[in-house]
Amino acid sequence: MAHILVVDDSNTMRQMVRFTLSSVKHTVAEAENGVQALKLAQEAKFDLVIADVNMPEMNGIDLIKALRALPAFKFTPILMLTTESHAEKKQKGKEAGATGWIVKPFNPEALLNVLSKVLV
Amino acid sequence: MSKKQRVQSIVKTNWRAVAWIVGGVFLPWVWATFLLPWSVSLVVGICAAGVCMVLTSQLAREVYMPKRRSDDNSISADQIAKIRAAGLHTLLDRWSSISHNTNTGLQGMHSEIDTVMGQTEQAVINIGNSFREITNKTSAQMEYALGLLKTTRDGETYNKDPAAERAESLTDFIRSYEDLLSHMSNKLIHFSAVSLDLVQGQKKAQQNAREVDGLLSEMETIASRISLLALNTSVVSGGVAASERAFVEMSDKIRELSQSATEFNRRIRSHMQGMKTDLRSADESMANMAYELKDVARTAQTDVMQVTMSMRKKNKEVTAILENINALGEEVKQDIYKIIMSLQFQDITQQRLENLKNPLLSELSRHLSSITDETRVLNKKLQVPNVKGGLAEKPFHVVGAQLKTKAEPPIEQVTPSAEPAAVPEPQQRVAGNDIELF
Repeated sequence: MAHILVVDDSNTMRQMVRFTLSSVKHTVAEAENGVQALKLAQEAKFDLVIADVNMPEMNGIDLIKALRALPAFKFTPILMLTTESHAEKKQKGKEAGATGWIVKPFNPEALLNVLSKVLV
Repeated sequence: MSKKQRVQSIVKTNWRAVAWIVGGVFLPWVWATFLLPWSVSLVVGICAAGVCMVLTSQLAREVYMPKRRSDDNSISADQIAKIRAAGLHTLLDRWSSISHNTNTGLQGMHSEIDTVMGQTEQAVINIGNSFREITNKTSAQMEYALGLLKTTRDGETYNKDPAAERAESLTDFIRSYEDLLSHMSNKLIHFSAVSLDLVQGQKKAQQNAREVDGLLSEMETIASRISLLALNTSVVSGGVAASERAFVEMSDKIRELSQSATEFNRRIRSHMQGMKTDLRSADESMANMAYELKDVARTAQTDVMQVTMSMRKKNKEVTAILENINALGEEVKQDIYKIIMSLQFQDITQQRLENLKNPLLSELSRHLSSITDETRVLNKKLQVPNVKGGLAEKPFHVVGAQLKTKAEPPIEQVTPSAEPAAVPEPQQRVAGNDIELF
């Protein structure tokens, strides 16, 4: 069981991810944007972060950079869950420190498989 | 502006021409009439009059037909018409370009909206189908689960074939098993009672044996006393003159001992008879119990075999039902996953339309603003020559084929690019299979 931070400006997406993760007993914290996520990350420790790219106030790429600057999140897996599928964006995410890139819509089973790999 | 003001304005603007007429034509003619011959003066006068008429007519034309004004920097009416046409042409080109770009963007948006609508429709259909499947499968699961517990399942078979009762439902199976166990426990209680009777019989036999043993000891004592009496008798008989009285006493003693021995024999026989009876009873009880045990063992063996078979059959049924329930549960999970995927299209749709809408509207707004300004300027320019009875307050300056004013930026600066606005292409993806770990 892991403690996971889900960052997405869409309430629907957050609920879908929460539903999927809760089905395998993971606990989930939610944030609507990068600023909120950063604040939560400074207050608590998470085993994994799942973030969208396009968000108001602070986008996903900037969030990764900010999280990687925190000692507690230097090696924490960060997965990007986004509609963006261009190689250029993926490269930016990779350079920022993302662990993986998942294009919406996600298959819950596939997401859980990925989690089992990155949460070793 | 009134006609008087216009005349004053024209005279003020054309004072050089008036001065030329007065100083260059009329004054020389007056001077010439006094110095030159009359014939020459006549000719000069006629010429001066002609020049005055020409100049006057020119001024009058400036007053009544200001559009035909011309000077060094002015252009003809045809040129103005050409410039207007060129301006209008440029403007129409701009409008056409904007229209084309907007149309391209709208086509992209139309295509994207079609895609989104299709995906949304498919998502709704998927959600509906998934919910229906979930409902059906959950109902089937409930039916399977209730079938395990309810006795009402396959009631006809239950009534026709009691042997099949055990295999029909878990409740029936449990009830049959309870009956069998109850029957076996009753038999065991009965066997325990019979065993207790046997133990009592054996105790009685042991008591009888002990009593017989005591009697035998008494008989040994009597025998030894008889033996002693016999010895005494032989001793006495060896004496010659034994008194007759002593023989009588001895005879009484022997009679008593004989009676005692008879009594002991009777009692021994009685005890022996009791022992025989007890032993016979115990033997009969044991035989009966053995028979009953044999029957019970046979029945129990049959029942256990039936129970075992029923249990195996029931286990298979329960296993199969549980497998079905498990399979249905797995299918329900997949249906729920489909619903989750379908519900994500709300966010995807929103983001796609946002990505499409914002740049398109921004581009359109920018172009429309620019072209509106241009149109306003051109309209203003086109209105200037229409002022009747006066000259242009802000004359056109022709540079090549372009029409422009000093205050405004060149048209080229706001001309949109030849390429239409960038419109995101609709993305057709297979949902849920695009995952990459770095």
